[in-house]
Amino acid sequence: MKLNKNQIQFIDGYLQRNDVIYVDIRAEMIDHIATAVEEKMKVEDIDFHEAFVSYVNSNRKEIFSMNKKTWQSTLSELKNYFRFFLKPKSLFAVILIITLFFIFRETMVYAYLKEDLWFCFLLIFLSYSVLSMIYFYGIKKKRYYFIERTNIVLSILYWINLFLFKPFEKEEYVSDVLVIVFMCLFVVYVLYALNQMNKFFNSKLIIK
Amino acid sequence: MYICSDVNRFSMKNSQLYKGSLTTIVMKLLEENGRMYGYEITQKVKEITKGELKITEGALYPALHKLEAEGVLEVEIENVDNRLRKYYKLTEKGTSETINRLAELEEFIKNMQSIVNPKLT
Repeated sequence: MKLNKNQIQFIDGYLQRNDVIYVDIRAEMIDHIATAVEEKMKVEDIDFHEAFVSYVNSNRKEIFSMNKKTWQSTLSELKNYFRFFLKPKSLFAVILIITLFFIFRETMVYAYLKEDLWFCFLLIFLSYSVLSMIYFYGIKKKRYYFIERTNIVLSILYWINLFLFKPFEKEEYVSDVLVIVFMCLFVVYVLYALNQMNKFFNSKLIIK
Repeated sequence: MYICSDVNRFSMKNSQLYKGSLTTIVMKLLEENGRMYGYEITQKVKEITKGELKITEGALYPALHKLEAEGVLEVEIENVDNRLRKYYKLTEKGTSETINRLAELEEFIKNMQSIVNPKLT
């Protein structure tokens, strides 16, 4: 016996009330619970509510462990990001940044860029955060773990930017190597985030 | 306890033996069955081992997501029975990785056998 739309929505509502905030995590949990409930209804010849309550009561801990985020999820996101450096487009971006540095290092353009680098990055970080909040919180009204987990890297870069380039102590010398390393980290992050977005929008996870 | 043997349910130490093999078990199943979804994997393991081995949701899904992130698995999402279903299948990299991991596991079993029961080897 297959569950109908209302029964699926009932499971979705239950998960939402139990703080499973991300749509993509919830989708996989709904399918898992629904399949188990369908089987229980068939084997034990009981109705949906009875099967649902019985399944959830005996598997509650395991079900919600699917929604648990650990430091390992953060570590795995960081690993993915650094693994992305090995992609040809990332290597190309790194080579391009280094080449542009050697071309423009004696010019005023580079001097200005270096001086206000922290502000440029800050502006980009804030614009991205505001735009994605408007899109996911305001327009879609849905949160996706697949998207939000890429923000872990962005937050780290945000703090590196503030600490590394010390915006309030401008007289301090900023090394060119630091500028290049940070530029590479940032540009590769942008490529990585775009790649993840592309994967996300091409999947069926975006629920209209 | 992530993955446990029902016969050894009360022994935490024994579950450690299975824990390290979870990803290899999943990859082997996907190699044999093409593509599978989460619940199907848990049921298949239960069926093959006649209920002796139970993969829990809390262990399976993080392992699947990790393998997906590593490029070992790829995902196909389909609308099935009023809900979305995420199917996992091996990538090209995953297929060759499975062969390596199975060879490694076989070697491990052989070595264990020699230690535990030297007469049989």
